[in-house]
Amino acid sequence: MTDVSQAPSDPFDQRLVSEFEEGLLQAEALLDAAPIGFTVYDLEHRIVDVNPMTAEMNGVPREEQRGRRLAELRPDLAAQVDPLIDTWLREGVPVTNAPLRVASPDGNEEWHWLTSVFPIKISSGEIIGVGATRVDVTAQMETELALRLIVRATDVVNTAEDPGVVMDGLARIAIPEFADGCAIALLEDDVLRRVALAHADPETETLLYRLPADLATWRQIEPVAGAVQSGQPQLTPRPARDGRPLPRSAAQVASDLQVVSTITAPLLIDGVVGGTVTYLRTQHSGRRFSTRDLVLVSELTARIAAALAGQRLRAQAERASARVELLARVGELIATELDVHERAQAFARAFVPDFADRCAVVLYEENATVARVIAVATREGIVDPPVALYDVTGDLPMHQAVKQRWPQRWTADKLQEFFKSLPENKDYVDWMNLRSVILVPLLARNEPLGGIALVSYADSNTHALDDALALEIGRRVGASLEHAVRFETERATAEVLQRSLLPTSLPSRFGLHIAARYVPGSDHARVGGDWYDAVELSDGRIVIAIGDVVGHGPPAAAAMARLRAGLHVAVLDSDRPGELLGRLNRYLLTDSDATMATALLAVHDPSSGRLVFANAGHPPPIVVRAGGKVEIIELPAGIPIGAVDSVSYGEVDADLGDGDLLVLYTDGLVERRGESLDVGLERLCTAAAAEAGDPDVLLDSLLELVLPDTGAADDIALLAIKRVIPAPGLALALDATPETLASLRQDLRDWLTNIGAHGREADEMIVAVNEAAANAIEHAYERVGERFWVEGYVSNDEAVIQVRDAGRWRPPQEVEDRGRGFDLMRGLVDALDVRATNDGTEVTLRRRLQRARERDLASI
Amino acid sequence: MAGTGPRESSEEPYAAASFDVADVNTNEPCLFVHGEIDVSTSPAMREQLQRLIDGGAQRLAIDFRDMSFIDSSGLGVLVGILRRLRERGGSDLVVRELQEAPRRVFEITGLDRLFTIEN
Repeated sequence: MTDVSQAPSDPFDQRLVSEFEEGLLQAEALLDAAPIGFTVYDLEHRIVDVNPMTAEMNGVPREEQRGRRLAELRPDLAAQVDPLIDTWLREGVPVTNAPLRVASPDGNEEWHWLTSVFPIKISSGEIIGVGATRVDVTAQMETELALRLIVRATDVVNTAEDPGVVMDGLARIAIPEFADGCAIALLEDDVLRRVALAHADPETETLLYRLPADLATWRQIEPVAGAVQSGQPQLTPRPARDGRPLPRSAAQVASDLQVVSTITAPLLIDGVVGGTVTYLRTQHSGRRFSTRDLVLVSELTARIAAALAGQRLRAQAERASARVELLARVGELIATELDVHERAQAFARAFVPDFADRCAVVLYEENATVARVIAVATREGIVDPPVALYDVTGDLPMHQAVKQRWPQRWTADKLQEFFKSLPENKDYVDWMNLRSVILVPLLARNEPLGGIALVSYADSNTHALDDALALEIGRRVGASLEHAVRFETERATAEVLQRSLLPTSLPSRFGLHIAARYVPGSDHARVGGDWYDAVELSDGRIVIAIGDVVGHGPPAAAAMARLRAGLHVAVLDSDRPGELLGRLNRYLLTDSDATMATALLAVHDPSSGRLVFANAGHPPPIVVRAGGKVEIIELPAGIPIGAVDSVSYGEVDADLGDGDLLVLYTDGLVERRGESLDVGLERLCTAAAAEAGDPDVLLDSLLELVLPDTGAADDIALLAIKRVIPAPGLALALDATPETLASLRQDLRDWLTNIGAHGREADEMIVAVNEAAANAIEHAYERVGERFWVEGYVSNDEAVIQVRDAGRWRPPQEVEDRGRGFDLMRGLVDALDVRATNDGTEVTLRRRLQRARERDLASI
Repeated sequence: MAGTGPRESSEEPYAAASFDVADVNTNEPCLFVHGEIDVSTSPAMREQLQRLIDGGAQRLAIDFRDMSFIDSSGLGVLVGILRRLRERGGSDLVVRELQEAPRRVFEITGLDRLFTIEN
């Protein structure tokens, strides 16, 4: 210590000086060298002396400090220290390790010191001065901060799952203790894409978001370029003034934020620079980064890079499994039984959302001259495709893909440019938000079939689809759709053929009610085999047939037509079902192309009710008795026709009573995969019992058994015959007086009810017959005691009523009402026949019954 | 034709028609018809309506809610009455509450356009 005798203008308390001198002389060497600062103040805040350390810390030479107050030398320090001293002086409690924060002389750094204040006493205990120590803990503070941030970073990575949340968290950890703002960006395809952004002030953060998310011009930003190219963090005290000018928007933001200092560090992911992290300090804190901060930045950057590497691995694994899944899904769909539209929709859906935000399937038509979008899938599901047909020109991206037989990738700019020139397509896709479009050609047997368009938007995270995978899928989807298109065409043809070959109308016989149904199967491979027919014999009997030709498609339909023709010819010579089957068998065998068929024949006599059956491999018929009981007619199985020569078919007798129903069917009605035939038969019998009565109603309810169940795979043919013994005829003799008309009307109504005519139908017929009867009564006015007759019967669902009198017929013009009467009659019947002679008049009225009209309608 | 020969028709005649009149002394009296109108009962209907015209009615209403049957003779009565009404300077014969079956008869003969039908 130097000479203390250089006394200040106001002498210190001498005792202080001597105490100081004496006490401290011993420690001089220690104090001189100590890294701790010592200061001695008098009770009026004047510096008595300082050690070299303190001199350095205060930034003022030792000699100049003596006798001066700290407030004169370092007001910033005094502002913090003086109150401490005063507190001590007032309260008497020593201050230990109070923190001091002070800016470095060049203003670039902030230092952290700890100070302790304690009394200097003399032996009497009187306090004569204040001592203060000071120690620099800046380095320690920084280390502690670094540790804290690192722990925080580890926490974020370990606790958050969502990659976006992790990145956001990592951007925030250093705010506000270390930086005012942070931005993390990834470098992909030479574009810097922002991943996370944070700032201490929310409003400023909003401002930062104005920076473009994708920066292709990152090379123009010196710190970023420097970091990426050198692999080293770049410290820029004044970014706006160093190096080349920033791109306009970045410069604008920098000046808006008053960026003071930045550090940009490269993110090394898997050994390659994969992105950057930028920390910035703005006027908000006012400090600048120093080279010492680079160490902490390296640490944090390493943590962020590790997190990103982990995410990338996970994303790769996800993408790989998504690819496998996509292939599997596509494979599944190929094997499914769907029509073209449903298949296309399913394929479109397979790509969304893993590989595209929107997927459209396009098929060519008219010999590949126009293209139609047939299915569109979005994240919300299937949407209606646009109705327009597109010309197949060279320009549309899809057609280029098809021409070159290779997937085409168009970037957003290229597409926007292209579609701006096609106003009609403008609104179809959200052009402004596109990231990429991939067009995959659909090739079927190396012919162009159409294509698939996969659209990804800017803010989505769809996986990339590599060319090889895209092409492979294009081939598979193409083959599958082509197959479906071809099949639909074939199937439509076969169905038309089938329907045109089946009988369009069935015999309508007095006492017989016949109904038939044919439903093609959903299993396209098996359309075309089933057949049925009903042929009238000259004596009123009827031959009924049902069968199933082996095979499918047009060949089976043709075989079925031949069988029908064969049956019509065979019945000219024979009326025995066994013989008829024999003939059909030989007939089929004569044709080498012909296939086999099952067949069941029945010959029925409606007047007696007799049934004779013969069977060639067909499922057994069932009879629903009038009371509701159901019987399965046991028949010998018989060999299908067209299989073997010289087979004979046995015959079995049965009968149909009044109101009984015979039901014939093909195996599509009763066969279900995984079930024995007996179970199906039982189900059929139960359903038939429940709905006995009208043949049409019964057949419809039998179909309902099977059809809702995902549709029958097989064709179904059904035939039902109900025997109805005809109602008795009407025969009345009445007195030719007006009073009898009322009872005639009542008797008529009873008879009509008996034959199944009710309600309006009956009312109308009664009016008509009443008119004829009124005429007859009038003809008889000349003679008393005359009678007239009313007779009626039903034949072929037609009611025939005759009114006969023996009087003299008078022409309608003679009585005005008569004309009206005739109009009325004619308007209410189908046919009016008047035979008038001098011996009497016969009026015959015919009307087809409503039940028959309804049946005709149902069979359309 | 099955059957054992002509059968005698039922003994009791059903036809009966009865009538009553409402609003007799107003300028639109109404005749209520009950039962069936055929050749045996239409003369009685004519008589009732004629009486109303003779009583000076210019406009007639006939209520058929309880009439279940009408034949051409009944229609003839209505047409004749309308003509007579008009000859006397009267205006209209209004048909009320025509039931479904009789309505059919009006329609076939076109008389639904001749009469005003109120239901």
